[in-house]
Amino acid sequence: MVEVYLKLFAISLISVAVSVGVYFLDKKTAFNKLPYTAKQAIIGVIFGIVAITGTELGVDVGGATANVRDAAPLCAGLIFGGPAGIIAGAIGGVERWFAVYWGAGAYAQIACSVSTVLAGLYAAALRKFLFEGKRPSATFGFVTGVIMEVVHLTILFITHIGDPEKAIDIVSICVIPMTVFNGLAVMLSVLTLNIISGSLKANKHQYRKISQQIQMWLLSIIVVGFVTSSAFVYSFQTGASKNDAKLTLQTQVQDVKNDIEEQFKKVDTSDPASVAEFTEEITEITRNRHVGRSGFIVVIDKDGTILSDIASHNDEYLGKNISVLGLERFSDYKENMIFEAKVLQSLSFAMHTSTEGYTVIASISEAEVFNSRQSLLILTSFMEALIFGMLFFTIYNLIKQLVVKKINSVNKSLAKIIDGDLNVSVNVRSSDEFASLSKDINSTVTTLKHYIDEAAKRLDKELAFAKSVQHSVLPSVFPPFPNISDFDIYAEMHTAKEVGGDFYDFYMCGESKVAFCVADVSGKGIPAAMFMMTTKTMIKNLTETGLSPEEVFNLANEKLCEGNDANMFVTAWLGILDYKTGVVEFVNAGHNPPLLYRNGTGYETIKARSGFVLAGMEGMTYKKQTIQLSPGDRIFLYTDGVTEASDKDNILYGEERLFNKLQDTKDDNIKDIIVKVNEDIDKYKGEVAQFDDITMLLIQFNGAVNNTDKTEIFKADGDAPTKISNFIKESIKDCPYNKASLNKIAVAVEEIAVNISNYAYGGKDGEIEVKVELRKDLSRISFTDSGVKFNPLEKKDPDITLSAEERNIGGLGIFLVKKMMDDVSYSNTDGKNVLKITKKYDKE
Amino acid sequence: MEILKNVDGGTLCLSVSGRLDNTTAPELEAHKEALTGITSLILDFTNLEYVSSAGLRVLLTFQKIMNKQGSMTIKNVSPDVMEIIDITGFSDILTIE
Repeated sequence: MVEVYLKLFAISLISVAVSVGVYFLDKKTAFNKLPYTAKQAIIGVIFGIVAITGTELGVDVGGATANVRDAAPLCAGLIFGGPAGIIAGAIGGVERWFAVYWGAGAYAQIACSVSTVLAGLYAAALRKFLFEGKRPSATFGFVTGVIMEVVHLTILFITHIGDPEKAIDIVSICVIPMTVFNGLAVMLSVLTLNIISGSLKANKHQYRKISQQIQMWLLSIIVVGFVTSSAFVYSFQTGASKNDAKLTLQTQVQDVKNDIEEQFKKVDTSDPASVAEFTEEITEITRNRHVGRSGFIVVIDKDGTILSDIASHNDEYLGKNISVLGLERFSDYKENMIFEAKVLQSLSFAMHTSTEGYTVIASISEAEVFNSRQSLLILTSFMEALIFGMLFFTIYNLIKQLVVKKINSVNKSLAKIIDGDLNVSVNVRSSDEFASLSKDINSTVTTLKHYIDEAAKRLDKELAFAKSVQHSVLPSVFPPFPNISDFDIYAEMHTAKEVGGDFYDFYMCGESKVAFCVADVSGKGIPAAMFMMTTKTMIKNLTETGLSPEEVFNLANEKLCEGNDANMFVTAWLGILDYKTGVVEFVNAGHNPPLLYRNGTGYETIKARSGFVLAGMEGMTYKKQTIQLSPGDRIFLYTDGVTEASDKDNILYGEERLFNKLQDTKDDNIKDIIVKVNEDIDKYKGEVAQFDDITMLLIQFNGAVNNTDKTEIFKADGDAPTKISNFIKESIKDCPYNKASLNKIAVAVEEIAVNISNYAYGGKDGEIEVKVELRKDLSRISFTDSGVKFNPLEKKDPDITLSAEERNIGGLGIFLVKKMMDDVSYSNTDGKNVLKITKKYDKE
Repeated sequence: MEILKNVDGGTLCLSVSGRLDNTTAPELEAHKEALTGITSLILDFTNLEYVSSAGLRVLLTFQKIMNKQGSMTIKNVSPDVMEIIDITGFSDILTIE
């Protein structure tokens, strides 16, 4: 028997081996490049051949042939795809049909062929509807194989329902080997592939899916239900059959007993002839009695000798001892009680009763007694397998549709929300629970959105505030030093949407010295802005103590490095101009080199070695460098926001464009230069949002021409305009102005003088201070009065297109001044109005 | 500043020379009285070398008067003076020959 099982096991392994082979064929070779249909067809044929092998290698198990054939289409369908399973099943089934002609059993022809085809369809259906196109677990593989074989044998039974006994015989013999080995073949194939492909490992640390848990539970419950109900049918039927047998035996035994007693009355025990006749009579009575189909009834005497033989045995056992039938132990049991004995090699039920020294024994084989029970058991098993199978599918699919799919749909929406799309709403309304869940999720998201919006608004407000604070610390009054004409300085900073880390700065630092600086803190946002404030304050404080620029940077670097946990750093350029001599001492900490404008030549880059960035590393030492400026020379400082402004194609504004724009505007005053460069950048980047802060600073050294500055104070009365005009005329008489320019200066001076005399003091006494500064290529005239604060430049220009009747004469004077002069500026310092006008010399 | 006055029937010719500035403008404005009954005013600026906004105001006053009773023509304007007139848009109001 062991040998038989080993053989079957070996055959089972064919399916496993082929499954592994096909798996690697698909993974490692060009096979997987074939279209799906071709692949399925090929796999179907391969497993079809495996099924045929199963048929041809049938193993005799005690009178019936067991095959491991159905496993092949099951493996193909479950592991590699429905179509492959169906093809393999069809091939295996058809071959089995015709195999009858070359040796296979005709008895199971229909059942085997049909069930092989069914196996393919069954596997395909399972894969599609139950396992969602994935390989099942090993347990399911086994159960699938077992159920298939139950169906197989049930079909066999049904096709031979006319001869249930033989069918039951064959089914009983085959049921264990066929279910076990087909189940094993499928299970091992699935298990091996799961191990190879690593899907076992991958699932180890994951939670099991709801559908998998439900599968397991349902399966367990159904197996228990199946076993319980089968056990119930079995025990009920066993009891009923045994009871039937008991009644039958009792009736027979009683009948014979009555007959014997009837006959015995007529016997004369002293007459041997009479006794012989009596014995003859008993034999006659029992001979024609049948107990069921296979049962019999015998009569024995006191010695246990058989007096009446079993019907249809031709007195074979007549006169022999009862032990030949195997019933010698009857006396161990009470009369009229049923007992078990092995009668003629087959297990049977028997009963005995005694009368007049004779014993009547009736017997019937258990096989016959339980015949109906077996049939019923097989039929109920089949029905239950069907009903439970359908239940399983129905419940599983219902749960999948009602719960799992909805949960997946909720999860999909949640995944989108987690990815940041707060506009997604969850809409699963198939049941009360899901509708409520959807509603709760949606309202959570809405609340969240609300809070995020609020937070964003608050943050925007704070950023705007931070931006204004940041701007307010930068010097923003121009001209900043109205009483000093040796240099001009102008700067602008345009922050990007976020607060940034750029700054410019300038201030006096000692006798005739002005410091100017541009810097860019790494990064953006509040941290950069805070670091910028620290840096700005530190550099200013250090510079104002009179340190030289390299000492300022050495100390600033040390201090900024302290506690710079955020690892921020600053690029900075600091220059100190002595505006009496034109000497600029400067130091560069990693900043882009400024441009130097040489009056009469043009712009050039200040090529000088740069030090390391500030706050980058402790212990850095910076080197001071020096440039000598001539009157009219300028230094243009900027941050990389200028050159790195980009257009819609992401092309940078660049140094060349900046350079060209500066050359184009070299004759403008310094404010206009910066305004025009900024306009050019704006035009260049178009609609593209500003990415970085844009900061520019321009300082021009005018040069001090000693002793040419003249200041005179006039009484602000009606004579003032004439006196002032004469003073100016005298002061600028040696300047290279042509007649037209002199005329323009005269007009401007008159207009301003008239204005101040007439309006500044409102009729009261007052003074006008007039200062004339003559420079290398221009002269500048400043008018200072202590009258009513009044900025004439704020006055709107008159509309010069109106007709004579509509024309108003007001505002014409200051309008003329603006038109006649190259530059007009107003400032209010120490409560005094200072109006400055500049006129360049005419070129020869 | 000097002003030469020449009346010929309805035509008044004023030749202005020198500077027409804040100080002198009232002198020219004083000739407003003489415009009564005049249909054609001619201002000869051949020798006028300078004009300021005060002067322009007088020209505007004269022009407004003459618009009601006749015409006003300005002659022989020097480039410097013309520039002032141009810049202020007065060239659109005044008739300049």
